[in-house]
Amino acid sequence: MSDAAIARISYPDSKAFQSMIEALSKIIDEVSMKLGPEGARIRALDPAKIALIDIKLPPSAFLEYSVEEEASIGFNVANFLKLLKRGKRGDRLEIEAKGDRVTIAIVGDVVRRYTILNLDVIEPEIPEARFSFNASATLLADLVKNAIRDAEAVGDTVEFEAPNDSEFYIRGVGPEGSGAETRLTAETGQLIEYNVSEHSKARYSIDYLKHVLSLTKVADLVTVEFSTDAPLRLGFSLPGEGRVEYLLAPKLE
Amino acid sequence: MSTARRIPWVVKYRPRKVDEVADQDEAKKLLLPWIEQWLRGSRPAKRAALLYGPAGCGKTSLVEAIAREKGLELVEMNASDFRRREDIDRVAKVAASQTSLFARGKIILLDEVDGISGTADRGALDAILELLEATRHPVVMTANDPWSPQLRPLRDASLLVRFKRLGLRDTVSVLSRICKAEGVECDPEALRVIATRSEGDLRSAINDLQAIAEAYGRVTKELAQNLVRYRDRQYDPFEVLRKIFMSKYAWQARQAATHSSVDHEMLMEWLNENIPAQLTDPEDRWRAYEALSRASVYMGRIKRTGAWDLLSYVYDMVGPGVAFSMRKTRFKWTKYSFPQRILVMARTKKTREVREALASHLARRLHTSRSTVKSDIIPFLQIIFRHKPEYAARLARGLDLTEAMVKYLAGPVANDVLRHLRSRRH
Repeated sequence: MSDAAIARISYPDSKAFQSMIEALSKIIDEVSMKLGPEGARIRALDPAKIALIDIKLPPSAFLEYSVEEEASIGFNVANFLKLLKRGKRGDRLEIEAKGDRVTIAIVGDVVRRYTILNLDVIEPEIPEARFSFNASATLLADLVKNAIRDAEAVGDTVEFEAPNDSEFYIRGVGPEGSGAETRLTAETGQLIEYNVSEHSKARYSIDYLKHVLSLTKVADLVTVEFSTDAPLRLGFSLPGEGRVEYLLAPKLE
Repeated sequence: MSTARRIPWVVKYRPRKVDEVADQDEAKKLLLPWIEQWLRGSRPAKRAALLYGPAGCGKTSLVEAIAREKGLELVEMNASDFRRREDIDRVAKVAASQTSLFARGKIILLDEVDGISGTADRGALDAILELLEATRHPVVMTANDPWSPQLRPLRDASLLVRFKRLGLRDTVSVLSRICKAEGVECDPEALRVIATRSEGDLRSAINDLQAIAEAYGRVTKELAQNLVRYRDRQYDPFEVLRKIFMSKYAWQARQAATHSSVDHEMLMEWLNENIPAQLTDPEDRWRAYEALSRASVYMGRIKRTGAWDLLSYVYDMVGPGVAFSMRKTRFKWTKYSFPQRILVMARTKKTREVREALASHLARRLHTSRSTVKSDIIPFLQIIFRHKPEYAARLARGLDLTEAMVKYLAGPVANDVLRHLRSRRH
């Protein structure tokens, strides 16, 4: 084998990358990043198969994106996260795959370079999910984060309800009828985009929603999509380009 | 040699449909309606199914085939993944309380639950029981040996589905199907040899077939006879008993005894229970129990002195010793049963505890030994308590007995005694 790099990419913000890896680390131990002409993609299904993180970064999201052919970089999420934590805001992240090694460089005032083994991660079979949602809301990420934190104070379940296309409720459901409610309306401008085709209501596990809260640090807006007793999709648009989607199965009563 | 990635045939030819799972019709008849009841949305009384049977007979394959055929998601955990409570809570319990992302339902499969030990993994067992309480989806467990005492709570909560060792014909037919699909020249006689030596373990039969086919490009009887060995297997107690009683040679009986999936003491219980069922001639029974009691004497010495080298003689006694007691009785097929002694002991565990507590309580007060209390005092107390509730209440107070002890002594009239006891207190 030649020593030529099979892939070299450079991402402008190592901290944003860290947020994504942090979310991954909550649901899975090892993951593989696929590099192809369409960009980088990471898909991870948690062991209980109820949550799916799907990260898509097109080539334009990178400062440098030279990928000769399809490549795959497998790594231990917790270890990778440890390396990324050494970086500072504004640092650049460079990843280079060569043979069975991957070099990760965090480039700021100083250059930190780490070499790790490219793991052969067995990819889980994940069907391409096609879903239709009856309610879809785009709102500020901080609002969602705070509503979930409020809900957490009373219990382990959060309920999303979209009764009509002007109101949106995020409720914490606790034992014996205790609860916390956040009401968002279109008039106050909290709901930037809001479409409801049918009254929808569903409950989800707070523990699992918390897994992706780290992404609210980098994404300003979040799209919440759901239907009655059906999976929830959270979409985070990353600065520059790129998107993270989080699918979560509903709780059964 | 081809450079294509080598896939084990056991994976490549995994059954995809329920019909493709070899035999096990009785198991299918039990399991399928149970799964269908879940799918109709009503939770069956038994939340879990425990599939048990020897290795390689299709337990996991059947679950996988059902999931595939019914379009269900399979959330699978192996024994090594669920040694700790957190692991079960993190995966199985979470999966059990949410719907599936991609499928219309799911099956939670805990493979090889007999791999968890009762003491070291206590937390894991409790977590599984909690899972069964809470689950909204069918939970299926598999085990080779479901009779170990630590699995009792799981057994009680589950639908028990027994898988049999596969018969020769079923094994041969699967093997020849694979030969055809692989385009390998196989002698039917060779397949019979492989199947016989696999003893109903289809997985090992397929592995043996693949090993020969890939090394030699064809499978002949001669190759099979030279290459395929009987594996060191463990047999469940039913099989061990049958093998012991059917042995023609001493070594066969001994091998059966040493390859038991239950330990030697449990095996002695099984023999104790089933010797009279199998041996109808009184003298044969006498000889068999002689051998068994000799084994018990060795066990006693082992326990007292720690001389484990005597264990070898225990096996000689329970295996050949019992087998060759059979001189007049002719072997005939007998239905063996689980040792009643163990069932009774389990059922009476609480009562025996109270009796022990009562014995040591009274022994201290009456300055006598616990065994004297049990043999000479408790029987009389029981008569008094059952016939003279009022006097009994005075005794109970004088002897400072707890409510559990009073209940034990008074049996059906416990409430009368307790009422007297309470009215005197005030």
